[in-house]
Parts: sequence; C-alpha cells; structure tokens
Amino acid sequence: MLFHSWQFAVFGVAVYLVYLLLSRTRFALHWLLAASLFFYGWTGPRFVLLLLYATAVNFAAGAMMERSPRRKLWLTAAVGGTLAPLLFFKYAGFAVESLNAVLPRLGLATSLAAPAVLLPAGLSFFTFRLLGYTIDCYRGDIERERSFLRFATFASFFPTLLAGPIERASHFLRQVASGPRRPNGSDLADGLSLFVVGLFKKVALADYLSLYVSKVYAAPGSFDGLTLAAATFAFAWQIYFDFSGYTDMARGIAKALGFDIMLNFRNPYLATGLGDFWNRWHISLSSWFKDYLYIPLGGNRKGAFATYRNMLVTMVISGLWHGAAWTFVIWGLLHALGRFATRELERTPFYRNRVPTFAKQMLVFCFVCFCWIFFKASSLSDSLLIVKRIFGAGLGDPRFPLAMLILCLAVWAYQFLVESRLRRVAEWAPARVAAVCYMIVHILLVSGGSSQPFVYLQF
Amino acid sequence: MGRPEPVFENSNPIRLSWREWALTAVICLGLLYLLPLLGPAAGTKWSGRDYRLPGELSSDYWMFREWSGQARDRCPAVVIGDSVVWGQYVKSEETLSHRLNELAGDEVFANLGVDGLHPAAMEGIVEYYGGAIRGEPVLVHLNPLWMSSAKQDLQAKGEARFNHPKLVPQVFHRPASYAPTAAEVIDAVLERQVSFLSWKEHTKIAYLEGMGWQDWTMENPYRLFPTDRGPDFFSGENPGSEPANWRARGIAPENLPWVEAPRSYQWQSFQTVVRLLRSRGNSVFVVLGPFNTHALTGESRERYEALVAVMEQWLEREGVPHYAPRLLSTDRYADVSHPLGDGYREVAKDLVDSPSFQAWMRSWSNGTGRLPGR
Repeated sequence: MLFHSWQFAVFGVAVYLVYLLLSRTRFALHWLLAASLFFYGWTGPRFVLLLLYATAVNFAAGAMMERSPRRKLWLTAAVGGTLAPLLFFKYAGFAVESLNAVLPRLGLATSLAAPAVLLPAGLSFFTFRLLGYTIDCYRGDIERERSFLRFATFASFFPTLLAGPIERASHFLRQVASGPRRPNGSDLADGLSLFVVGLFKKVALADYLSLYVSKVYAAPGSFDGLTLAAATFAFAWQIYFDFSGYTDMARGIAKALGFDIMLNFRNPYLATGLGDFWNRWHISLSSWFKDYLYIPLGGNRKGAFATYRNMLVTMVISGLWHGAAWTFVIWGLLHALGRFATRELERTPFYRNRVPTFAKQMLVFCFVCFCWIFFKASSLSDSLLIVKRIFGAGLGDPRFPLAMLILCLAVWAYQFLVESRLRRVAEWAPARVAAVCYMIVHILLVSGGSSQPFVYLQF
Repeated sequence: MGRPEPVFENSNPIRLSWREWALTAVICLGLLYLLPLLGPAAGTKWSGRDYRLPGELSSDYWMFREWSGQARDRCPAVVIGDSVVWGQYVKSEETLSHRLNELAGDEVFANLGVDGLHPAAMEGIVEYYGGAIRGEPVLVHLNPLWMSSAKQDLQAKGEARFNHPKLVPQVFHRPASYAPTAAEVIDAVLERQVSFLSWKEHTKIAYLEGMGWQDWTMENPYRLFPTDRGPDFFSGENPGSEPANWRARGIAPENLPWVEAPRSYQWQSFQTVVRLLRSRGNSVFVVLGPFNTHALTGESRERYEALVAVMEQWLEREGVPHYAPRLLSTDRYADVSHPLGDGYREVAKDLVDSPSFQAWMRSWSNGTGRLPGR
C-alpha cells in the first residue's frame, strides 16, 4: 500500500479518525498496532508472521538480558535470530550466484539452485530497528521495554515500517511510555505540511525524473556520453526525491498521529565532503551504522589505518545493506574512498580555507553522481559500460526535458537559499503559502496518474 | 549524528499553520475552478454549420459538455448516438444532422455524435456530461450493432477493452466485461464530478497528444507548454475513415449471433438513457438503424429482425416515438452499420416523411409539424 495511492488515502483517514476517538483510551496503541499489522499484511499476509517473530525475539532478548548474567549470549542469539531471515531472504540468492560464478574456476562443475524467495517489504528496516533496541539494552543505554504492546507498536509502526526512517527505540518508546499523546490540530497541520512536500517530491519530481532515467539506463549501450551523464544527474535527484519524499510522508503521517520521527535527510547535495554527505543522507541508517558498527569497531580512536579500515568496512556493509549485488559493494567501496579523500583534503589548510564552499559542494555532488552509476545500473558490466561511454562516447543531443532541468535547479537553488542567510525569505508566510499552492496545483494538474513504487522499498 | 531531531528541523521550512492551510485551500480551490475557464477558449472552436467534435476528441468528455452547451444555444434539437450519428465515413456536411438541416433549410439539429458511444457509455455521457441539453428535443440513435454479440454487449468476461470505460457504471450494475481497479473506479467517478479533472483530461487529449504533461515533455524535451492546435484540429470536418462501400472494403456477410433483448446489457442501458432523458423533460425520438442486413447471413438476419421487433414493442409500450428506417440499397453502406453520404440523405428523407417523426416535430415546433424554416 503506497502512501500516494487511493488505498492508502482510505486506510490513512480511517486509521486517523478511529485513533482520534481512541486516543484518550487505553486502546489507542492496540488500534495503532492492529492498523500497522494490517498495513504490513497488505504487502503479503505471511510476512506479518516474520515481523511478529523478529519482534518477539528481540522483546524476549531484552527481558532475558535483564534477568540473566549471560547477557552476551542473549545478545548473540537475538542478533543471529534477527539477522537470519534477512540473510536468507536478501542474500541467499546473491551468495548462490557468487558461488556459481566461482565454483567452475575451482574445477567444480556443480551449479547450485538459487532459492526463489520474495524479499519481504521493509525487512532490512525493521531488522535494524529491532537490533538497535537489543544492542542498546545490552549496553545499558536504555531500559528494556516491559510492555509487548508498546514494543510491538515500535517495531511495526506503519508510517516507518516499509522504508524507515530507522527510528531509535529510545526516541519512540519514550513517546508511548505513558500512553501516546493525543494528536491536536497543530500536529495535523504540521503532518499535512510534511506530507504535501513529500507527495510533491515523489509524484511531481521523482516519478517524472524516472521517465528519463529508466529509458536511458534500460539500454545504456544505445546512448552517448552526454545522455548517460544527464541520466545519472537525473537519477541522483530521482533517488533523493523518491526517498526523502517517502520519508517526509512517513514523518507527516506520524506527526499527524502525534509522533515525532527522526530526521532522515538534510539537503545532502549541499554537502562539502563525503563525511558531511553521510551526515545528511539517510541519516537514520548512517547514524545506525556509526553507532552499532563503526564505533564498536574502534571508530577513529585507534590511528589512521584503523580509522580508514573501519570506514571501509562500514561503507561496504552499508552498500550490501542496500542490495545483494557486487554493484552495491563497489558503490560502498567508492563512498569509502571518497570519504578518505575528502577527509584528507579537509586536513589541508588550502582546501579548508581557500577552496570555495560551492566548489567543494560541486565536487562532492559530481562524485556522488558517479557512485550512483553503480547503484542504479542493473549489472556490473552495465555500470562499467556507462562509465566508459560517459567519458568516451561523445556528446550527442541528450533530449533532456527542459522542464526537468528547471525543476531540479529550482529545488537546488531553494536548498541553497534555505541554508544561506536568506533563509528568512523562504520562511516568509506568503512564500510558504505560495509554495504549497504551487505544489498542490502541480500535483493535480501535471503529475502522472500512475503510482510508481518507492525505490527504497526494494531494500 | 543519531540524535533524534525535532520534526521540523528539516531540509525545508515549509510548514503551514491552520490559518495558512485554510488560506491555501481557498486559493487552490479558486485556481482549480478558474483554470478550466482560463484554459482553451472553447467557444472559438465550434464555429461553422454542421459542427461535430473531431474524432480525436471522442473521449474528451469535457469538450462534449462544452459543445452540448453550445449546441443547445445554437440549435433547437440535438442528435445523440455513436459514430453512425457522428458520420464515420462522411464529411461533416454529409451527416444525418446535416441532411435533416438541409431539409429544414436551417440549422435545427446539432450533431452530438461520439465515436464508439455504445448505449452503456451513452447512459454515462447523458447523465454526467449532458446536463446542458436538459429539456431539449433529442433524437437518439440506437445502433443495434452493440447487441450483435456477447462481446459487443459487454457481457464477455475477460474482455476488458471496450470504448469509453469511464462512462459505464463504475460500481453498481457494472458490465461483466469491465474489471477496473479501485484506482480506476475512483478516477472515473471523480472525473465525472469534478470539472477540473475532466478539463485536465481534455488538455491531455486535445493539446498533449493524449499524454500527460510529463510524458509529453519527454517527447518534446525543449518545450514547456504545447502550442495551440489551431482551428483545423477542432473542426471535425473530415471523416474518421475513407468512404468506401462495404463490399469494396472486403467485408463478407457475417453470422452475427445477437443477444436477445431481455438479456442484453446494452439494451437495458439504452432503456435507461431514454428514461433518463424523459425524466429530465427531454422530448425523445428514437431512430433504430438503418442496419446493413445485406451483410448478415439469413439466419443472423432473422435473429436481428426478432430483436428489433422486441425493441420496437418496448418503445411502443413506453410511448416513445420512434422510427426504424427501411433497409437501404447495398451500395449505400460503408460497413454493417454506417451509411455512406447518399445513405444519410435517404434516411433523413424517410425520417422527415414518417408520421411518427412529424408528430414528434409537432410536439415541440409550435405545433406546425414542420422543421423550423422549412
């Protein structure tokens, strides 16, 4: 059930109205949990069992770690038990394919059959959300949740269930500790504001850009260098609008229900370094990796070599989290290299003080675009073909829609404005009202009718 | 990193208060109301006698609504039907309405024919887009072809492709051939009720080559807005197909199975159309055919005649004036249901001479029984 579908409109309004009625009763969370399970069951009823399994494992682990002295054992069991479905559903096929590629080289003529399984929607997201809770309990950063109802609501909260943000247990459970807060008119107004911006990003921008990107990336060998570069530029914006649009809608729905959900994007294409980029892009995931992988590996406390090794491991695993393919590994690897490079550059006074911020931003943006090639291309050979053609296949007419370019540049300019001293112009009430009016009319007037799924739902 | 942020510490500061949302709603509703009025200047499109909607705009229901309003102001009566009324194989100055006007010596009948408008779709177009002709004399044409098989009668399950799906009943009494998604039902229902949405569809069909703006800019990457299609596009002068006799076009006599009237979905829809029009105060006259039974096998012709007899009995019973034109000579047909130019001339002549038509005319033309100006 996509946020920008009629089915969700009906579901959302019904859930909201009943929740308002129940919000002063002890049944509010029951309702929210039931709605969330129904929402998840819509994608595939069997997957609800998987969600409940992961929820039960981590809830039990929290309880056992409190009672048992063998805390590490329970942590290991919970991490293993939670990761097992993710490894099976997401990576078994990739492992088998990789083995099948390697086995003939070792003189073995066997070919293993890849398991034909469908990746349950949101699996990567709720797995990380639950693991974060269990690790926090183990470290003693949070107290274990005693109510299964509250815990299951945290695990399955429908606005963030399918594609995040990967909300932290400490943040969410605090909001339901003494019963959820009754949403008020201001929550609804704020929620609507977030939702409309997200909807605009998705249907007016991301889906529009995808028309160009899909056409070019479907047959990269048929296009010249400039067209492939334009499609890569378009994909950079498509995936940003798609994912941040989803996040805005998720946060808007949660806000309307009276919940604050963590920020996930902060104008990532204005980053001045790769480290800065990851502080702005998919913040809930990058901070998760930082807190639960990079720092436990030693972070930057054990010298330069260990720091870069830890960064490399974190970024490669982050790449694999996105998809079970070598292209994602390379994508993670490239980002790690980018982080090394910009980190070293930022240590030099010349780069730090003399290179204009705008030049740094453009450098980072171009590098991120280059990395997106490996993220988007359907195979490693396609990725390499695209790179080769961008740098050597000449400059033809890219037939890049002028309207697309104007929209992307307008949003970019707006983001520069928001992060500048002129931010007040964007905050001026008539400007805000005009912007929302434009977005609504644009959505109604010129957006396509089809509901394309969110890119990040596949992860 | 990792610190939960307040909900509006965001990449943009667009956050509206309740008052601002109220203002936004008013502005947006105003814009949605005004845009269709500021849009293509519809009134300039249908100048000239014998106007008909161009074939390319046959699923442009906003245009139909606009044209029916113009037609009401321009002519005392309208003719509704499918491509037989529209004139698939003839120029606009050879259609049934033109021939009737020719006999009248004045522009009396406006051509509201729409290509592919089967009775179930006619029910929808009259109910949702035909409000302007309320109370006017209406000559309704029934093309029996729509009852010639289960597929044409929209009873063949799995046959999802047919003309004007947005016009057929979407929820109750839906044809068996129609299996829309929930989103399609909602879209169709909203488009009927919200003028802005049907106008948006009009802009797609009339100006964006049937595509949405986004797809259109993909085809025309260096343009932001379409240019006006020009008056020729909207003139509707030219036929939809090359005029040629059915035999010359290689059509062989067919054994059409026909659906019996009591079980026919299309016939029930047509009955609904007649009742709806009459409940709106329209003076209704029904023309049945002229169907090209030369193109039927003997067996099929018998079934057809039985069907028409049942239809005429119903019309008789309901007190609906009607006329079934005689079979034209074989060279007057372009296919099984469409006459050629001379065929329309003969049908119009027979119609004007028929007592039932004259009586109907008397009922709304000041009792003279003559076409105004005749």
